[in-house]
Amino acid sequence: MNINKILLSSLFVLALPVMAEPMPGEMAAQTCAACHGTQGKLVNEAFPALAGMPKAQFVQAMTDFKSGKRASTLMIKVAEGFTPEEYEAMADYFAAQKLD
Amino acid sequence: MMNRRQFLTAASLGALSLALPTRGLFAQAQAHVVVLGGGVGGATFAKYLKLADKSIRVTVIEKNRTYIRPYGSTEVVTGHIGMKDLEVTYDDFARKYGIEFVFDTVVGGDLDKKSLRLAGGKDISYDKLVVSPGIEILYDKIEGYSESIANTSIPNGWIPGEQTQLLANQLKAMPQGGTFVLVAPPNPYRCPPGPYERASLVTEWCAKHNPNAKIVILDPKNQFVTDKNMLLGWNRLYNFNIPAEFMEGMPSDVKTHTTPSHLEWVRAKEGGKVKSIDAASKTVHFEAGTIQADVLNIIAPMRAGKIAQQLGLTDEKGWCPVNLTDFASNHFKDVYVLGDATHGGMAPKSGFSANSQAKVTAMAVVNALAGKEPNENPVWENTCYALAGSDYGLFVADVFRLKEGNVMYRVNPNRYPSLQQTPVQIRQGAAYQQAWIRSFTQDCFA
Amino acid sequence: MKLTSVMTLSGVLMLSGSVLAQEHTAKASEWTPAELKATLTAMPKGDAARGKQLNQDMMCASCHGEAGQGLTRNWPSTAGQRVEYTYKTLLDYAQGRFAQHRGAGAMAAAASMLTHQQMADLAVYYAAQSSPTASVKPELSKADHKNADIIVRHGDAKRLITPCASCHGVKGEGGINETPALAGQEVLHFERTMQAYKQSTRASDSNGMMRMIASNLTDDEIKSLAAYYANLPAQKGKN
Repeated sequence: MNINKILLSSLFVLALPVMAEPMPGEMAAQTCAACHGTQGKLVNEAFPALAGMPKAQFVQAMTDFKSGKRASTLMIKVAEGFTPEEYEAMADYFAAQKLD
Repeated sequence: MMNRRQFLTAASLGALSLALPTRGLFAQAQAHVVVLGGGVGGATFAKYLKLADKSIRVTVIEKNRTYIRPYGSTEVVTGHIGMKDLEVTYDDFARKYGIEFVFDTVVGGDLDKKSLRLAGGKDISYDKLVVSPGIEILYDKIEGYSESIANTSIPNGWIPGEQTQLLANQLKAMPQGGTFVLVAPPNPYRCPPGPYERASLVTEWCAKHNPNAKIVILDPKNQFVTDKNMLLGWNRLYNFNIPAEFMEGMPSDVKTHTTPSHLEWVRAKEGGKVKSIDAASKTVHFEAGTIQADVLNIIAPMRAGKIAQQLGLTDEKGWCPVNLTDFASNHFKDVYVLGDATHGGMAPKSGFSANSQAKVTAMAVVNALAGKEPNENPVWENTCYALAGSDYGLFVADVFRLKEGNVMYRVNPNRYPSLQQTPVQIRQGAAYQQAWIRSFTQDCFA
Repeated sequence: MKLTSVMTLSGVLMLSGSVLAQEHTAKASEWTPAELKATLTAMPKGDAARGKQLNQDMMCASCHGEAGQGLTRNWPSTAGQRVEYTYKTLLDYAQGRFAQHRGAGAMAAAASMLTHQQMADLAVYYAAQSSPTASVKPELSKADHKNADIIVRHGDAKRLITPCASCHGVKGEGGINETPALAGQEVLHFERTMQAYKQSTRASDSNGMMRMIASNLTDDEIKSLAAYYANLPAQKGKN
């Protein structure tokens, strides 16, 4: 398998102009729910709850997972799937959820 | 550019939506969305549709009052959990979200007239129909195999149920030093790493309880999703020697074992494709030879669930073609298909994919009921956790989007864990796999 | 037994750079004060530099921060914690004392890969860091603060609630031996831990002391105490 080729093609894809309609933060955030609970409301589990998480914590976490500064098993793959603007939109969504 | 479905939607709803732009006004004539199938895709869809708009009437048609979850069901085979642990019931779920459940079977319908016929004799009509039918096992594609054989002596178990328990019983009762043969399916199939995870966990179980047993995978393919990570695990755990073509990038601790592994993987290029079986003697004839099994697990080829075939949602390959923006059927207006049954672009046929598709489609259906187009920039995620051993976790993880209208692509450059993962990362992967089964079940069914 | 199989397999799993933690062989029973004392007395002498390295290599830093300062509300800060507490907690995870608590799997997996020496190294490293500041400090109404303060300082004899301060210090600085510092601790971690004691899914306290106290606290009181401690200032600068 040619990793370079994959990397190059994905960079190319990322460089494509973003479509006019942005992805809603809620839609992006819903992809998290399969591990972190519906609307991020998970308690007493190995995955952290995201509901009510301060925006800055969420954005920092995603940024650091993506860069590899923060070690992970799987989160780096997820973080690579979204743009910094989308991190903000997802963070806004989760910050607005109440954990209880 | 407008496809048939969009054209029809625009034609039928366009005038109305201009006059009544908000969905609140639809309360006068409550929209009715019918969901066919209460598995991962159907249940998640119903829940997320209700979360998005309580005013929509949602009816789920499901044949079983108790759903048996497929993901993680191999743990029953090795006795780590029991069949009861796979069970999901709908009572609390239905009450919590105000979803109506009809426990019945669809025997026909007229999708042009937006109507389904139930086995109980009733007709049920809808404004939008979401079909999440899962898979149908094609037992007869393997010469000598049949559903009745699967139910009694040679389980398939890829749709969990009594065959899963039968396989567990057979494994337990296998004579010391016996041979467990697993026939892997051709692409495409549900749960891409699943057959290999099953072989792994059976091998691990045998190491403890039946140390001279042999586990043989007969495969019509030469590779599979997560193969390199899985083979590395096998090398470390089961003395498995990794075929040369998978060696690129392997870490330095990979060994060439001189004692043969109890686990053997016969690929297509080595003649692993099965030609026929003799059910009475559990003998498998494959391209490179013949093997007699003590326990035989045949994961037969599959296609979209039977009801999708009957309703005319499938193509000649047996899967449902959909418009990827919202998973609307290419065959019928106001019908959507979710999960394993769809072609689904690049998305693997996994529970995670079905769950993710259900959420995107729920948003699209809310939009459609309000006369709006689906968001044209959707995103889906997939994660398949798999185990090479109880404490050896691995995964494939994808974030998918669309480009050029209807072409799905993966955003993250690499789907697999690094082959250089540390022991603690591998171990954590297994811990997270177990946690995922719980949190995922909640997201779908609670 | 699950834990036994865990250990056998991890033996196979261990690669270069890691050592099999052979000390944990079976699910341990609950602590008696005498056993706990003997275990803490036998704790190896830790090395902070090795602990710092382990904090990276064992992925501790991913949730507990580069220097034990928690990154989110969810997972505890380990910085400034007492050596005995960290050492004991790692043993508890490795030996299955949280086995009933379903969220404990990830920590149990990590801890069961550590030797006693490595646990001590980590404990000494964290103890040498400044006390934490909570990443989120929820506001507490005057009334709730007052109630929490009464529980902390005076307890409630009628409900068999010992004052928190008697073991954890008046300022949440931690008491003797294994009782943790609580000042500046992350709220969701605090609540989860107290709920686990309350529901007896965490059996790490000697003599069941915390389980008894927590079972007599209401959920609202637990929430107030979490916020109370999160708002307490750090008690210890870097040594």
